[in-house]
Amino acid sequence: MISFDPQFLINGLTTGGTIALAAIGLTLIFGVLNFINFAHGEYLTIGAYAAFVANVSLGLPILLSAILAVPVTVVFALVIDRIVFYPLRRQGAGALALLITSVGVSIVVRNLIETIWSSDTRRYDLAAGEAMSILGIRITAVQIIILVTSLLLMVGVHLLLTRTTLGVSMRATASNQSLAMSSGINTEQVVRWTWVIGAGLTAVAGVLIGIDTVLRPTMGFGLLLVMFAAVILGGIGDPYGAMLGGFVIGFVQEVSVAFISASYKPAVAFMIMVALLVWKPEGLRGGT
Amino acid sequence: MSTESLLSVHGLRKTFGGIVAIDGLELEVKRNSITGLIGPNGAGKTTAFKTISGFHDPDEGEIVFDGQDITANSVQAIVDAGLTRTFQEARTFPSMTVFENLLIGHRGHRGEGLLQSTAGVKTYASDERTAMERADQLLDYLQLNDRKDKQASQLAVGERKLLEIGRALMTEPDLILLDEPMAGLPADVTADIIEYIERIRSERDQTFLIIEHDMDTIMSICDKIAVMDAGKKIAAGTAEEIQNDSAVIDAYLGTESP
Repeated sequence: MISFDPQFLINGLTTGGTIALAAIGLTLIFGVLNFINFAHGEYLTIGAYAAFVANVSLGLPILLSAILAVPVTVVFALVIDRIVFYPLRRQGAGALALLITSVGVSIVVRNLIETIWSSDTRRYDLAAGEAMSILGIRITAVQIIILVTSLLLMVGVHLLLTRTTLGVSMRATASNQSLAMSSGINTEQVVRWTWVIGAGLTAVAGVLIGIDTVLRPTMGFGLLLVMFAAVILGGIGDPYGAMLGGFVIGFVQEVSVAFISASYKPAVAFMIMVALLVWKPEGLRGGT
Repeated sequence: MSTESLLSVHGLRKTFGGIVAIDGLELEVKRNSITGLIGPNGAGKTTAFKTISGFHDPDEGEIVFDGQDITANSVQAIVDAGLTRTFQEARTFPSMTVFENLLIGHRGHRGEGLLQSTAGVKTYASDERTAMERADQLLDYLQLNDRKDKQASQLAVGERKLLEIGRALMTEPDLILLDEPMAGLPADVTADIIEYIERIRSERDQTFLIIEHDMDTIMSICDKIAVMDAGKKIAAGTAEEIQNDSAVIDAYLGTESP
């Protein structure tokens, strides 16, 4: 019999925090544009490698590198939207056409990253952190940084969605685009800001994962399916659901390590996703 | 009451592939009128609405609103110019409260810029206050006060219709296009909505253009009625004139019971 190890809690929370951040970006874009962006994982990779260039190639401190990674990823996402997705939207392309196109974008970008930085794993230049012990749980400085950063950003997302007119316009556009337009909302501008926020959060998630583990060109793509699981778990298009889904998936993945090999972690995420699609397809938070 | 045209549509044409949905439509809506747009199914009424409100770009023709050519304008620019619309089934933002639904329509909102909505807090706050005051006034006017913090999805169908009209009024329009406002409403609610539309016209100086299949509604509230068939206007006039027009009887009343 395996007794519950509180260590899983902290591991689950940190993994969940990064998944949640990236999943919010994915779900916001889905809400506003109604298509599943398969290239979303690459935004995470771009964020992580942008910070790598700043941190390792230019020798900047990791905090500054992380901050620089955000605008780089945002500009990248906006450029992709402008040259790929926006023209398709204008021609009235459906969700399927956009989805397939995003698969293409994903492959191209992933291979470009591999061409530039090779498929070797990379690390940030970090001082090795000492683990401290709180109430018998071992927690590293990196884990604390991940947790605090992801929680602060989630509070930020909440304030944005509820306290600013941009947030309310985003919710309105996600709910019903033509009604939002008839209410005088500039939905194209809402779309752009959604890319900015979604790509920015995802870039931070990429850097956090890079700090926690290593960088490789497939890091984002590998996480994409886990992000899907989180998004579906919380109800597609619902940012709060993505937060919840991210933490649930992260937590269950870490706890599963007690029972089965760690290499099956993603499989656990999918079992939850499939089970939920069968029993509660509207997501954990219900049909909001 | 002035008799100038608030909206004039000339030679409007809209095709989808090989299908001609609107074929040289002419339409005049006088300021402060309630104008009806009727016609058999497939006559092009809804396409006309979509084209006028900017959801479709016309192939040919000209749309002049309040002296301004809005033919090529975006939906948002048209709303800013003072023309908004409602949709066939009562459309609201279901997961938002009644109050939030109204705030969405506030035209002054600096909303869609991150900088405007976070920086410049002072003007933002005063603008937000104005929006809230206006939303409160509209809640009063539409007698939806006690529904203020309810989610729109919890409203009865008639209340949802009123909320939709309220959201349209929040955009400070001169002209509201109503797409089948009475569809799916029980008779007593229809009577209420008719009363509201007439009150809003006279008390708030609004102009309405209405698509409606319910002939009793159309005949009772419209000053002018335009009849469309196969993408063209085939007649226009008062309810009485329309009812006695032979082209209308042939195309519409003769083939389909009203």
